[in-house]
Amino acid sequence: MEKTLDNYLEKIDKFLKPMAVSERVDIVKEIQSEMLELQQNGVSPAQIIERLGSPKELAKAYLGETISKSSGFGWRKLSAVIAFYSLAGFGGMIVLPFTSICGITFMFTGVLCPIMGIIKFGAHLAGIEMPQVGIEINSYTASAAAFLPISFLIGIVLFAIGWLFWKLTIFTIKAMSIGKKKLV
Amino acid sequence: MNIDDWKSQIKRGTLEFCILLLIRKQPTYGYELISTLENYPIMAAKENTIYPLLRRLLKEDFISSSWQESSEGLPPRKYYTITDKGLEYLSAMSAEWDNLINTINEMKGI
Repeated sequence: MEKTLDNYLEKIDKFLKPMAVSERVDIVKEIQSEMLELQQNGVSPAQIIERLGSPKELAKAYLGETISKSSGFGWRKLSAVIAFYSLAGFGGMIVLPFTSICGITFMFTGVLCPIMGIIKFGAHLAGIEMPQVGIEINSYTASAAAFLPISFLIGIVLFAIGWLFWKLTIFTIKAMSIGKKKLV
Repeated sequence: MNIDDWKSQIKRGTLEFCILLLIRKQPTYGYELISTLENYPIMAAKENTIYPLLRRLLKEDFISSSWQESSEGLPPRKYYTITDKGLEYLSAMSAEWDNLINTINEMKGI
């Protein structure tokens, strides 16, 4: 196989890193199959690459489809979102970082909050007070026992906000990947 | 007046329908599908549209795929076949399509 075509496939493989290996191998194999067939029909490597478009665009199309179709949250999906974002260019440089960072941060703090509540309560039981952790509204200061349920409540609210931001991120990517550009 | 914009919207809404119709006719591989569509300018679409779309149809179990060796030095090809679920989806789409055509014909006064 021509070196330029091999390079093209390597780039596709690299851009699709966040996908499962089996899927990636299958995608590359399918594109390679088309390349070989075009070559057999006498199409030059340069023409083949022109036909397929830049490896970046092609990989982005695959990533966009993957992200918008799978549901839930996971590391694989998170890395797919990051990879898509890095290929999405300037259009995605304003909305996506904001919503994805807010999503992850809120979800993280949502988990952290009840953990701190448990730690404070545990320390209180062990006879250690942790005034640096807690909640204060004007003159009211929650006791360790009162802070425990409050921390869970706040945690749930923060996590829900994070989840909504995450959903918004997915929604934005979905909207971008089915954008007009794709069918030109 | 931007008719191209409207045409691209039509394509976006109906490409899936066309691909399933073509695959129902006979098991087809990606490049074959793209070349067939090239014969119909209103439905012509590039690799970066068709391959991801095929992947989605696979994930949704409307089609299945299998790699098959081909003769005389040609590379193996990934053939797509329609599933029972795909046939069901296709018949629902066909019904809606007829519905749309009838509605438009009625509005045109035919």
